[in-house]
Amino acid sequence: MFVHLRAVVQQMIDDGIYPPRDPNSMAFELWTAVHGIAALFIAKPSWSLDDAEEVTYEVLRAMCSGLIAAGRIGHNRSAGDAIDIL
Amino acid sequence: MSDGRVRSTTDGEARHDGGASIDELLDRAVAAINRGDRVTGTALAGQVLVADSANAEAEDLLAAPSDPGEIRRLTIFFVDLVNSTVLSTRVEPETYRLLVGRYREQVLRAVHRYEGHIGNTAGNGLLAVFGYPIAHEDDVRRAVHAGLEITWEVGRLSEQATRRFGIEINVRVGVHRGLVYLDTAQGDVYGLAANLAARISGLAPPGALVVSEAVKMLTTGVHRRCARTATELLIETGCAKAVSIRSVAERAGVTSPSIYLHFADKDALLDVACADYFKQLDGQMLSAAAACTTPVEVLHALGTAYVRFALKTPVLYRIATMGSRVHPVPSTSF
Repeated sequence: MFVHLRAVVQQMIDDGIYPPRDPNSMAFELWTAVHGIAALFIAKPSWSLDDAEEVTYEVLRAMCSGLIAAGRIGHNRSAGDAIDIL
Repeated sequence: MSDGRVRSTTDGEARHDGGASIDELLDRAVAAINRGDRVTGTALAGQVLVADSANAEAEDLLAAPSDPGEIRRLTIFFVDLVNSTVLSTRVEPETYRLLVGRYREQVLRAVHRYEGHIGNTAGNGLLAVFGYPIAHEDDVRRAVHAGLEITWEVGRLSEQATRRFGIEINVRVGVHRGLVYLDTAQGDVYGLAANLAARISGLAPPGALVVSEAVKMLTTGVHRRCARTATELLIETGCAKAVSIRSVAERAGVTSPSIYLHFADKDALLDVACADYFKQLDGQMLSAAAACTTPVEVLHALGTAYVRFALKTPVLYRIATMGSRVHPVPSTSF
């Protein structure tokens, strides 16, 4: 599964969408995010699965948008810098 | 014996509707021919061919001479020294004798340890049978393990030989299971399956073991069945403690010793079950991403499929990624 995440991250780096960081690190960050969602919802069986879907969508959207923005403004900029630049 | 129709189980093991597998039909056919009942033997071999039209053992049975002596279904093991002629010209005769002697010693030791029986020796090639005179339920696996052990030991011998004499020595091993004629007086076997074992050993690269399709089917079947059983137990009980070699053996219908030939211990079994689980997860992610066109869509699809599958199989996900024991996620699954 990790290789698939890394392949798509690499693709986005090659397309100039994602910042040119280590694809392993970025894929790992994505993995920790989805694992975190899975782990929490497994630990709390009473939480609704619909919520899990929405959380997953929002987390992935935030991470992707953030990485795309970092690709534009430079990946060593902080989130505060991003407000000023964008 | 019912109407001769055959269905395939998920294992790929064809079973007769009456419950007899191809394997059992062949055993019965051999027994019939050995007791002189050629009509029954031929009929049973014919049934096997209905189910599996290319079954070499059934064809052999039909072609067997009318007075063949004793026929057995055995596992045949052939090991040969690679380039032994070249070796004999490159070192002193005493060195050659020492190296070949050590090689033969390793072969004999491994074959005896797994309770096989040395048949004939042709030059530096040694043929062993598993299943005669002592038959084990897991003769095929014994032969494979003996073979692997020999390649490993001879590899070590080769390292020593390289250091001391500047020469490598290598073996190749072939394992096959099929019909042979048994010469009980000599304790030797001959026939197609014996020749085939020698021939397939020739396909092995130096230092490697090659098994025939018949052997592959038999060994992967048990391995897969045990891994699947372990996975089922994990799902049902929700904890790794419930999975033991014994509980898996009982449920999978194999003996504990034969599980130990595939898995060093319970943890190894759990590792395979987890690797299995990750493979399924992998498949879900890939099929979710298949319809996507842009990389961003792919990423969303992969992440969503991951969480969905994890939540659909919470017990396994927890054990595979957060097991109570120190359980490194198998690196091969990435």
